[in-house]
Amino acid sequence: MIRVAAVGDIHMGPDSRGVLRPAFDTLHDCADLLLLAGDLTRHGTPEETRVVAEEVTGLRVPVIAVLGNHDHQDERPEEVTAVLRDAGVTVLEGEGTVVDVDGTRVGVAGTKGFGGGFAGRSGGEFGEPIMKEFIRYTRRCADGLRTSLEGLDRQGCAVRIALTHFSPVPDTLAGEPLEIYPFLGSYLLAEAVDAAGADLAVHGHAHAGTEHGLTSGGVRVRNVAQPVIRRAFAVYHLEPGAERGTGALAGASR
Amino acid sequence: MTDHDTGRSGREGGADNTEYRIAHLQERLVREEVAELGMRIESRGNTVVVSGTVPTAECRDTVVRVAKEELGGTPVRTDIVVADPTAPDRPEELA
Repeated sequence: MIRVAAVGDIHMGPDSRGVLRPAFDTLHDCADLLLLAGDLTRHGTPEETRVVAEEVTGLRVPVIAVLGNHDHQDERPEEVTAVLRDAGVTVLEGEGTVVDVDGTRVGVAGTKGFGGGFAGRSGGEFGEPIMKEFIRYTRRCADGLRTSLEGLDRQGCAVRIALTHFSPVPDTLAGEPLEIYPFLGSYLLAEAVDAAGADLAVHGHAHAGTEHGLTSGGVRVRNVAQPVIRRAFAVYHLEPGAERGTGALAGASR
Repeated sequence: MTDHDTGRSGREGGADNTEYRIAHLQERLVREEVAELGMRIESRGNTVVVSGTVPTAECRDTVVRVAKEELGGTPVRTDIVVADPTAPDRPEELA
């Protein structure tokens, strides 16, 4: 059994120094890895990122993160990434990483993702350049996610997890105003997950949403935004080799 | 708007319009030190309700202060929770 701890949207700043550390120090008893689903800071400054780094430095489980929109606010995502990497965090954007858990290869593919909306109610690559770029950016994130999940499959991962900040499905947005769904996620992310297959998709971003969802291909989705899970992190137990959404058609036929 | 009596002090539909004030409060919470996008701000009767979850008590104080400043004479009610930093007591089995 693989034990996955995850949290997003911890929005740390100087006033939250040390707040999560006592809970994180218990991780090695209950989890094999910790996923951070973006919005680790408020403005994406190196100073705020150092607060995050202090929370996770020296934990006895691997820590894997994607950035969120807040982590881009100061337009220095490379510096945010560098501070986290110096603290031992694996930061993913359009790439995957493999963790060995007692001989089982666990793969995590990550991208921040972006918005655009959900199938039948989404923006398209049409019109003004800025509108086209909006959707193309999301598509690039989704393509990176699909390619990394496929790569993890080729590397023999028995468990694969998709880690994003923006949501792949509308299910986990329930509680958010419908009008802002296009700014909370995109079906392109779910399509990527379903095309490549995964055992679990984890995201944050939607503070007023709900924890549980499912892609149309049958992959379980969990919104781990801290205001949603109402804890320092959530823990999910996954069985290697259990059913997974290997492609939308396989999922739909179940 | 139902509130046209209070909206007539010089700039109709402008600074005194509750709907726009809510929009401006939302913008200010994002722009200022808390960078808070997650607050729900709604007009209820003749009050404005601000609710949501923030990372620290300091953030909650800032949101309350900024809301009162930005909404001027409009009564503000807040229901803001500070995120719980404790470890979970059980996992979810996904097998």
